[in-house]
Amino acid sequence: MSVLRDIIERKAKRERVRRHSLTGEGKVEADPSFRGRVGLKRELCIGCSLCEKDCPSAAIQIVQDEKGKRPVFSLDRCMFCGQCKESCPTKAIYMSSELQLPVFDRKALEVR
Amino acid sequence: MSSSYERIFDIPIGPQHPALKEPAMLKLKVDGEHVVGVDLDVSYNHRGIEKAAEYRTYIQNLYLIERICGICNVAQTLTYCLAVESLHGKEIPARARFLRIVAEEISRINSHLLWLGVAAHEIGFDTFFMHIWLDREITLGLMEALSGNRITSSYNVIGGVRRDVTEDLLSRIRKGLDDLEPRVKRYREIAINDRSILKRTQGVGILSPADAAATSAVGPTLRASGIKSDVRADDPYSSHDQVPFNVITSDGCDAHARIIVRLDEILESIQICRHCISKLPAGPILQRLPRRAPQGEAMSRVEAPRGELFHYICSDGSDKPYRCKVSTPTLANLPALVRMLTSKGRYVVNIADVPVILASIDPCFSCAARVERTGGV
Ligand code: SF4
Ligand code: SF4
Repeated sequence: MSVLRDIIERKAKRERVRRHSLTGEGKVEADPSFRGRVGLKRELCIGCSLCEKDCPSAAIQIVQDEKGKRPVFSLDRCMFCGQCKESCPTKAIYMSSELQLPVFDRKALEVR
Repeated sequence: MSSSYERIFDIPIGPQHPALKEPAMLKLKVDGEHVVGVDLDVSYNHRGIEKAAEYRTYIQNLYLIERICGICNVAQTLTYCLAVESLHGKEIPARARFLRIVAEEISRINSHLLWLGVAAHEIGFDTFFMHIWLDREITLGLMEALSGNRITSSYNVIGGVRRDVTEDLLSRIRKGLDDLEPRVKRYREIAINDRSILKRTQGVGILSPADAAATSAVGPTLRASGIKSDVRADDPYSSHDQVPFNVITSDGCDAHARIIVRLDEILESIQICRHCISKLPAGPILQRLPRRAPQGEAMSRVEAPRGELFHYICSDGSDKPYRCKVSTPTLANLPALVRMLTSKGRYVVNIADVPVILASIDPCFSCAARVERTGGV
């Protein structure tokens, strides 16, 4: 019986579970400090491959492009730990607060 | 009439069972409804983490170790970092030590609230469970703001902490704690007065102080048997000597006492957080350490939400540990669990009490499953 008071209080305050959706109205937004999708500022990267060495889930591959070596992130392997961002000596890696990553094609999860 | 010996039956619970959240095998010996003996096997989920740690660098291991336990991830990384830092023989900056306490206490509140919800669910009081978990969202939100993720925080790193706090964030944490405190006080009131909780937990799962000491129980399980022992107070590992706090104990020795001890610990953790935030020293948050650890051995222990957590690391001077050993609090509490299940307190343990008693040690069998079974516990 004693929880009854809490139930009534919550009802009065209109506290309830909110409905969330993936897109459009009611879309879930993460906190700005959230560690989400990884990204690269290409102009800062010097191709040192420290990020590849430290990534705990082998989500980073170093490839050659027209400007030299650079990492490619496979977000389907990434666990958003943020170690690559930490290891990068030139602060070329950033993490956005983007939360949702559902795609049909695996290729779309490669950050190039 | 058959003799009482022939009336004793074996009832297996697990390894897969609706009442268990994790794979464990309880072979109960029952005489009618009464549990008279128990045979426990928890080695169903051996994940080979310690071996895997030998093939990863110290930095990569941070994230592997973090995943030993989702709920105590802050305590796991803290213990690991302390061990690696003591291999290097380095002290970390004071600000980082205080921030580590804040993260640790927020995760303790989170873990205890989670446990309280699970305990309410095991008792059969699901309304209570829903309310508690709604308030647990506050701590998850604080963790996300502090570290960048709700559960796997990756907050502690070797040599300090990952992120600094801003004035804005500190006031947010203060507000979160202010919101939480009256709720926890209210839950304490309910836990003391509600008849369904009292009926299901009082006098159930008795662990006498002598038994608790004899079986080397740890954490809230030990403190609910009236023994004052807490790694934070006995062996301050992260500036805990500069933070005034009480070690909560209770003389109840039953499942109800374990609920009250944990609720009081939440209130104490809120005070610790407040103190650390108001006395936060200025300065750097990270002391960079080399990738290779010097040769040697290191041990560290931390008061995780469930009790004493222990790490051992042996280094051969390379950038990977030679050996890594983890001993989790659940493992230490298993012998005590067996005593509780066969205790004869005010009542003999009934089969229906088993889930409540099991939940009362806050078990995490998947963390504990790092040993091979060699016989009965
Ligand atoms: S966030 Fe972690 S897992 Fe993801 S790419 Fe960076 S280091 Fe690898
Ligand atoms: S660590 Fe930074 S600079 Fe080095 S390769 Fe990775 S992104 Fe480029």
